Amino acid sequence: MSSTPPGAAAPAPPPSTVACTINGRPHTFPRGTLIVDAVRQVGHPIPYYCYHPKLAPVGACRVCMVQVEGPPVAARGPIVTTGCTTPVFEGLKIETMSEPAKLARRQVLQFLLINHPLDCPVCDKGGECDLQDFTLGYGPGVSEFAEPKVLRRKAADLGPFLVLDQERCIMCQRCVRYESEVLGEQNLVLKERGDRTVIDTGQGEPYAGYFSGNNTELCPVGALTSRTYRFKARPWDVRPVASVCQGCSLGCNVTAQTRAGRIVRLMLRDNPAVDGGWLCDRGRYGFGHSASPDRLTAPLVRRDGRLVPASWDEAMAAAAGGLRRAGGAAVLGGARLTDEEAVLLAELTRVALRTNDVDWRVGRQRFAAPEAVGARGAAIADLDGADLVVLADTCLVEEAPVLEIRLRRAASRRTAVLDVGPVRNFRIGRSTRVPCPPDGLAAALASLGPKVAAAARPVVIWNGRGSEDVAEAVRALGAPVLVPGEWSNARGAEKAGLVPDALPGYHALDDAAPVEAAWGASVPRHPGRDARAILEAAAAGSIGGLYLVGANPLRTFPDGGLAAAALDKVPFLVVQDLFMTEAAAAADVVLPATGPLEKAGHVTNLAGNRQTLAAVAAGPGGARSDGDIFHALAAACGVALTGRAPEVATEPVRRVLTPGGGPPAGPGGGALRLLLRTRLYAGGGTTAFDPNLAPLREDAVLRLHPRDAAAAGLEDGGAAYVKGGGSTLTAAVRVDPDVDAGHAELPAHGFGPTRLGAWVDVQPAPAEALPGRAAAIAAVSAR
Amino acid sequence: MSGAQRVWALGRGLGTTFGYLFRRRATVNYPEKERPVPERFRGLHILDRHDDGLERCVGCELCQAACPAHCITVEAAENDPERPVSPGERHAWRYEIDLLRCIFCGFCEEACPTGAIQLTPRHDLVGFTRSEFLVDKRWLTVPAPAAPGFPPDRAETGGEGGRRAG
Ligand code: SF4
Ligand code: SF4
Ligand code: SF4
Ligand code: SF4
Ligand code: FES
Repeated sequence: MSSTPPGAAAPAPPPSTVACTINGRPHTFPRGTLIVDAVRQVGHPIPYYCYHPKLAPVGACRVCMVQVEGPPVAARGPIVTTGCTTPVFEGLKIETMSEPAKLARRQVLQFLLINHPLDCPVCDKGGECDLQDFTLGYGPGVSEFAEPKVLRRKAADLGPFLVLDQERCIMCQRCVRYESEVLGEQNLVLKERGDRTVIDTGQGEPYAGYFSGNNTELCPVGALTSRTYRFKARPWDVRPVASVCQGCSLGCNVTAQTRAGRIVRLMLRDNPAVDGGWLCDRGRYGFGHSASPDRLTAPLVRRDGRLVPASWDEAMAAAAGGLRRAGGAAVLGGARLTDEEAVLLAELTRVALRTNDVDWRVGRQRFAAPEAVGARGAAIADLDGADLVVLADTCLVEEAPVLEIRLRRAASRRTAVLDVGPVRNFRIGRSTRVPCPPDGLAAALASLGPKVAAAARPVVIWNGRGSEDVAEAVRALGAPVLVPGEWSNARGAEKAGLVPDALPGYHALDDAAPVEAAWGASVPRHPGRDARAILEAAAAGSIGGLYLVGANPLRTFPDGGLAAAALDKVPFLVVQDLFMTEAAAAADVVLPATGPLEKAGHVTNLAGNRQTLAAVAAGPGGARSDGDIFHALAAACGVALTGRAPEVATEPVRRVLTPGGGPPAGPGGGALRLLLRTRLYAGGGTTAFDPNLAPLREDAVLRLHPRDAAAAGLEDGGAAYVKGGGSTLTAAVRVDPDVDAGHAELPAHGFGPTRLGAWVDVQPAPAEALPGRAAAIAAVSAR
Repeated sequence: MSGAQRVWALGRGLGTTFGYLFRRRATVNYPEKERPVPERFRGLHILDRHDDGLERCVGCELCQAACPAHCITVEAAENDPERPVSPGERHAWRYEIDLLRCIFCGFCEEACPTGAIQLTPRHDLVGFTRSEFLVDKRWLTVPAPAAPGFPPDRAETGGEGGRRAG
């Protein structure tokens, strides 16, 4: 944790230290250190509310009172002042426990409690509340205030995640300052004056941003609390386990708290190198899938056309038999496994199924590690010092939200952001839009070459999508690259060789010796097929069995029509997942797996940080970890897996890319170009099945420029038919000026849009046509 | 010891025995008769109600935290404003005491901010199986006054409350 809050440093004089005394003992600190930091560093207790190491000081609560005496105020003798707004001075004598300091704190606390409801027994913060702790430690035993208290809004609903109790607020303004300083948003504001001041959203509407949950940890009292944790536990009930969020490829560090084996909340675990001490709401609240009643709890085998529960042995025998029939097997998915499991799957594929037809890329992302395209990888912290960031058609707030916080912070200081792509992806600070058509990204990036070359510390952020020429353009920029991917552990999958054209450790197919040495078995040398080729072969009926590991191409593959044909035609389909996905419903064998919060291992995030995943909860009884399933499946094929990961090749193979990332060009074509975009709450993995996230899920929301909406006769909150490629989708309409005219934007992982062509027509639809969930979203947006 | 001494000792012993035959008996004919206990005797628990019938317990879990024997389990839930179980936002949907582990110290009663959990002088702790001593909210909560329009006991009308564990 930084000792000096940002913005707190006095205009930096030549670096030097100052000597002062704290409670009679001499200490030295860097010049500009705040008294509250100095006192904390030497280990003396000091209460504070408004001060927070990640926010600029304001001196709002006055509870950090200390007595100071010395040069700058020598003439006045000992005075009492706020420690969070006063820096240490040479020769200053600081007393934290002198009688005047104690009296000042006692009186401040008495004032803070004047209108406080003191409903600790029903307050979710009870047991971990700074107001309880500091009142006990420094406050008055009794209140002299006998008048009636000011009553305010209690248990106010601020959307699906936040509950606000205005009576409990002590006006420290941490939330308001977090919103403006860290997020550059104004979702929470101060309203009214004097003792009527309250915290609220602008008009009392639901909180609109993606980072509301951090407020519940910033708020020192029980004014802002989490709906998902509401009345679920007390701090003394819970068991904390350190783990890593697998909501996206950033891998923010979390502490999961369980009560009687059930996850009750996830809290941030500050890792300055990864998350900077924040979480997004999907990560924080997306733990509900773990205990969902819809989880698959037993293996299912298709008998007489129906999926029926079976024992693991039966299911394994059926799967092993089906995958080894004529035509050979192919494996899709694996980018949501741990690193160790990905290696096991690679070994299972190569050694037991004897094929290189394996691909984790069941979505639009083509590359995970910058090194795989010959570019240099950047560290996440490089964003802080960057002077130029190129966003290559990447919407960080939807794809790796907490990385966006870091970029916003950088952009609000001195980092210039070039936002390249067909839609606006970044709105904060100094950002310049470089518009380009959906297929013109490579050319647009190439045109930025001189700017990037002129920058001292440029960083390119690219989500690994697009054709070979985009990869080439990214490489040609020569700057370090971050690849926020579509899946949590795409890098682990890529490194483990879950690709058709490389072996584990980025070894070329003809450099199989190290791999064979590690596994003690020979591996096939002929190149495999990538996801599209596998699906095409399956649709043509030339593949014997398909094994989907945590993958649902029906939702994620850009050409959903092809995915549907493939799953329909393939003679034998095994699906390993947490839930009954559309793909699992079509399977011959369904294997229930444990989720990211239920298994231990390591995962590699977008910048290559290898982090440790802990088994936080047990998962449903009948489910097994993916690793255990791979071992059992290999055993059913008569092979014992070693799980040994070969050393990484010194000269990593540069991978070849088969074209075809985007949606297929539709016959005839419609009036609007279809843009598929990643949306935070439209994920196809656990998000689609998480009860906590259900209110915000958006499967089919059509975003249109106001002009296009008006031309088509569509209104915000209404319903629309989206037609293209011979299929029709019903979607809720949102009019959004950030979408460029001439484009129709749909969430990439929502069910349905992937079957539409590249060009679509939109028409008004009756509201009843909307499926229930989309109707609910329409209602929210119309509010 | 001489013979006379022996007879004397025997007589004295029997004298004590026969003497007690005519005194008031120290034992009572339990359970037909019960010995009165002091008013503040700490016996079996109850969960009390307010006069309007709402449960006093708000599910704060302070009793659970205070209990040195770790024999209380409380789980809270939000009140439906239309049909509240307790005054305010929060109530306990689950409240269990393992009476076999309880040491009847009364700390729970002392910790309770609402006077919900109380130790009564009742002490007839009998049963045939261990699980009978794992008492739940239905067992503990005093009966609701049978007034018209009285909020029904949520433990009986559904939810997860009131289910007997063990
Ligand atoms: S809601 Fe919480 S964080 Fe915000 S001002 Fe009030 S006490 Fe501070
Ligand atoms: S940004 Fe990604 S890793 Fe971080 S909390 Fe959100 S989903 Fe999880
Ligand atoms: S009387 Fe003591 S041991 Fe028994 S439940 Fe109460 S606190 Fe626990
Ligand atoms: S009995 Fe009292 S202390 Fe225990 S949960 Fe209920 S209100 Fe809290
Ligand atoms: S912490 Fe210093 S005034 Fe609030």
